[in-house]
Amino acid sequence: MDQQTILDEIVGSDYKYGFTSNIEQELLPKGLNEDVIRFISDRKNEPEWMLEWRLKAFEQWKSMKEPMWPNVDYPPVDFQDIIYWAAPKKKPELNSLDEVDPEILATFEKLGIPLEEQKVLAGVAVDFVLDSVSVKTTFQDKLAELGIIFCPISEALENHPELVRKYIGSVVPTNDNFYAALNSAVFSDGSFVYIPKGVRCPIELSTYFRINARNTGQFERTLIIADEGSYVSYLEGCTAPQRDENQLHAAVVELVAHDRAEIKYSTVQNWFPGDKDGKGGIYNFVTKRGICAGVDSKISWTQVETGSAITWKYPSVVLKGDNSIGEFYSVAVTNNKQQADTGTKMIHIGRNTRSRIVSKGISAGVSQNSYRGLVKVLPVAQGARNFSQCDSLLIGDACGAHTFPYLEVANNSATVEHEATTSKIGEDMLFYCNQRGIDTEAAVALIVNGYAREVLNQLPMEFAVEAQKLLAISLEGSVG
Amino acid sequence: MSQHSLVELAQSRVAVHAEAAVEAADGRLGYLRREGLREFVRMGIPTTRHEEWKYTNVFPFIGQDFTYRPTHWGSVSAQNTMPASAKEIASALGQHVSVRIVDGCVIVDDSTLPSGVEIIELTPELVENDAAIAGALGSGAPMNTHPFVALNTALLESGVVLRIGKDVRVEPPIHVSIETSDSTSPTLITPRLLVIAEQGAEVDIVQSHHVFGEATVLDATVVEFVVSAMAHIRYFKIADDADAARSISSVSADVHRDATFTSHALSIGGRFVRNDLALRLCEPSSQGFLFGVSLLADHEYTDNHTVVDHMVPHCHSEELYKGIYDGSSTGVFNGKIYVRPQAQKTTAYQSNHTLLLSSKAQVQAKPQLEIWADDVKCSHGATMGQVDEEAIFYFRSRGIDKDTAKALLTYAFITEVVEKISLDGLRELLTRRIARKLSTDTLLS
Repeated sequence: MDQQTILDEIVGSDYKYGFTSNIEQELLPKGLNEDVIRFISDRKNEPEWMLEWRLKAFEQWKSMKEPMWPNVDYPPVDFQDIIYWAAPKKKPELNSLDEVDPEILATFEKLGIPLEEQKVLAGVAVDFVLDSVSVKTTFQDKLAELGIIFCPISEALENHPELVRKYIGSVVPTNDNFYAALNSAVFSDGSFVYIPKGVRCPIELSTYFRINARNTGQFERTLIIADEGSYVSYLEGCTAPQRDENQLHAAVVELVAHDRAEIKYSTVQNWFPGDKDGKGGIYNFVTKRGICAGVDSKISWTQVETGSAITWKYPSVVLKGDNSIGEFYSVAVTNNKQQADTGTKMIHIGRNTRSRIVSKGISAGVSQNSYRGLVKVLPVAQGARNFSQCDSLLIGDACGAHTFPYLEVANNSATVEHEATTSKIGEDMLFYCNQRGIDTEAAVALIVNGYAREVLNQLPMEFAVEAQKLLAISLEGSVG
Repeated sequence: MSQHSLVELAQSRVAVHAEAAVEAADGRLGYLRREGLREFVRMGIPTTRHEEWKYTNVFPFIGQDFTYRPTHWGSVSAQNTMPASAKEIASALGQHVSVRIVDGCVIVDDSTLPSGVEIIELTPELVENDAAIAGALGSGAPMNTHPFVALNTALLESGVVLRIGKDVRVEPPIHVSIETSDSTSPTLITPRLLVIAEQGAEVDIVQSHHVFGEATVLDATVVEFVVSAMAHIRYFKIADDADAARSISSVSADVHRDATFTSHALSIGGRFVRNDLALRLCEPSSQGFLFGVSLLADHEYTDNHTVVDHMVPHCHSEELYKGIYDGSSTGVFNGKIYVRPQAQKTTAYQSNHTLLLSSKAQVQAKPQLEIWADDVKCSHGATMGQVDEEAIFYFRSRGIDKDTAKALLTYAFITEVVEKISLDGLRELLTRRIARKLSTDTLLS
């Protein structure tokens, strides 16, 4: 198969998960004002302080401007043209899977994540968010025995308001950025995780987000707290149905790791990237940040980004505790007209803090893929250590790959290393494979998989399989 | 001489010209001045919220009222004595061509001018009558994005044109010494240099800046290079300025087929040095080599901004910048490699390495790649750290004490770049200066 044919096929592949489930929904009219925020807060039976917190964020948001610095290009978002609340009309009270709306069950099937099978085989507890309200939470009892709290954040607000109040906004303040402020004002739901002292969470916690109703922005809020000496691995994965109108997604994820705690946060993101003409697709403007608050703590972000029309996402770690570790592993694939501006921030504050950044960008079609990262070593961060590697792979001559690292070092005992390369798949590598009877298509797959392996290896087993599938689908025609 | 803020200064100078100018003679130069003023007013003084000036804060000194020393041509008789620091460079260069710009006054010693080399006064008539100069002037300098290039252009009344004739290989280097004498009030100078190397020409140009006295001197020099096919230019910019100097210089070079441009940004000191270098590889097989050394102590500050623009296929660029920062100094490196969609088969490499010697020293680096073509090999690497402990151990195990080992390793770290200097005398001079600044001179002698 010649190169042009392969390229045409890559560009020609359509989104596989484009379907819509018809669940009756309760919608607020489009638009955002104080009443909408009061309505959301009221519907969720939130305490008074939460409403005030939201309103404060809304005030801040009104005075903020949309960030224009990312290396992405899209028509302006009309924030008054978005529905800020959508919930299934009948809130199901579920004891077993039989009570679940058959439509939702069918959705599970299409996504290839049979819940019952996962329960038994994979040992994964799934907090399934369909638009704005959590529908099904499993394994809760089992986790409760260990004192682990894993529930929708709205439930946590009812049952553990003191914990939520203590930590919400402590890592990403309401006025952190434009989208974080918007999220703080209107967030509908999300996950809350608390791992008590010394507990090692026995299973991988997992949440599947899906954007389901037309014209609804989804504003999740995730808060994970790992108390002293605890460990948790959290998985987040997304697929969204095909839509013609752009949908906005502005999530906030906050992680807090206390002394000797470890949080591993993995994401596979495969939202609708828009069709091959760049029509539709999700705008993914996410603020993710973790703080290593205690000594010897560790936060590790792993992401496989294959979807979304526009991605704007910088999972970061504030290394406050001495000897704490921050990691960021990323594979970002852009195809067709996708644009991604993604990277990380590592802020070294504590002594002997270490961070590691491995970012692999793959651009195909007419897409644009940017790495943007900051490594900042404060004067107090004695003995800080950073290693960054940002590689870009180009497939086709119409795409772009860009690297914007910022390195700011104000401590002379720190060691910071950064390296980046950009190239296409080597002719010699392809020739080598061809010569041994591997056709060009399979060879490209082989090379891309090898290229991304360092990151894929970081994923938990169950996710690694899905991630490989997604890589293959995203670059279909050349991979698989 | 009256003092004015920068904007007032630029405005009044342009207004004077607009009134006095005979339309025909004003021509291109007048047009450039008006455009420069318009752009300078539009952009204003850059704040640290401006991405390209994020780490460069000009506000501590920019708000002063400046006395402007316009560029004009003087005669050899007006020559006053050369300052010691300039003399040192001049004598290190041996036989050379001397171009001095003393308080704006251009003094050319053409007694040593080799044949085929022209040093011409930039006048409105020259610009009108010489199409090559008219075309080159203002075409490379980024007047629309760099506020101080716009300022320089708004004040563009005179300047120096260096033209190296076809296939002329100039043996003696050309030394451009920009000197500002002791003055009591803040001074602004805006030297402008246009260097045209015609086909197959070859030349070395050494540019140094010298400031005396306590009052601030804002030096907004703009240099434009045209490197024609098969020509080779080697350019050395030496900053070893006194406390009062605030140097914001912008260099641009257009490199044509089979030509090379090599630049050395040598900052051995300087309270405030900002170097912008824009290299455009505009015809196939052109090459660019950019080297930089920043050796800072106390409250010194150096910011190297480079942009390498690969416009066409089959070009090659290499960049190596090294910095050693001691005291409370700050070093900035901002390097961008830009590969346009049609520039296939590009190879572009960039590296930036830093040693921090003091707990108060800082470094900010932003090595960027913007790649719009696929068949390319591009990379950058940036490191910040200390002298390798294992290397020190190696020295110590052989009976060399720790301080000596550290000094030797630091010296070796920086001289890797200095060794690339092809002019023997200059290389030796800089090696000595570096050794002196690192206090390793006694060890090495």
